[in-house]
Amino acid sequence: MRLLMTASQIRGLPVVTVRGGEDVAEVRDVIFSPEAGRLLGVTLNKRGFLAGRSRDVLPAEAIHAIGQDAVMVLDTPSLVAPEDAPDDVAHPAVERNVIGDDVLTEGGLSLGKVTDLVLLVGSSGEIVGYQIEKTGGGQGYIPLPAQVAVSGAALVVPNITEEFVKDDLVGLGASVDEFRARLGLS
Amino acid sequence: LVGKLNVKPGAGSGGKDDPSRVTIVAMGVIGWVILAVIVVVVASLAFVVIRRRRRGGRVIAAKEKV
Repeated sequence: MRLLMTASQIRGLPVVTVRGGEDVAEVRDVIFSPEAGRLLGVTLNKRGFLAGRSRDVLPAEAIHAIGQDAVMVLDTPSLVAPEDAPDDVAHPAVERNVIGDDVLTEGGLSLGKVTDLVLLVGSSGEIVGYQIEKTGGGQGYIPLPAQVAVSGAALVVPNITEEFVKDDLVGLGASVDEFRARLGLS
Repeated sequence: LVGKLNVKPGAGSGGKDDPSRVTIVAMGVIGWVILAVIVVVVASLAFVVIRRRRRGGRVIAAKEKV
């Protein structure tokens, strides 16, 4: 099953083992690769009301599935110690949090601010686009291959992205292929 | 003398019915209540901030590979 979810919907989801049915952790931060357009992994919190950060992380390869109500892993050893995890997941660049980034075209036009990340989840974690709060007000979506550069401050996108700002997720899904074709990516 | 001045026994400066003493006690009680409210509000805010920081909730873009 594949469905579109936002990163904010994934954060806080319980991590449950397929084999034992144990609730072993919960999702803390979402880490993605803007270049590859895929989820790299998540950092974790321990379970419990006041429980803090877990030392272990969950690389994308160890995720069995992501659903609306839980992130599934095969068993407890799927949670990986930082020493054994990919560096991007074990030591995420916290200054590169994209939430709140200004979305600017190469021409210097502000399209809004990033409010969330949209993923196609299921057995994989493909990044589809960004949810933005448009400069003129209201919510919009832009397809992922849009960015020229991304940092913790700004998301720089090609000028044609302005034409592909959609008002809903259905519109975003439909525009991704067309957008990629226009950029010569497919 | 007390009877002639028509003043209750015990009244006067420092007595238990001294109006100024009643006022001071009332102000003290109000002060403690205000202090308690401030402590509760500050503690609640601190709890919320600490909990949010512990919960995290960032969406982090990995660094580009050169």
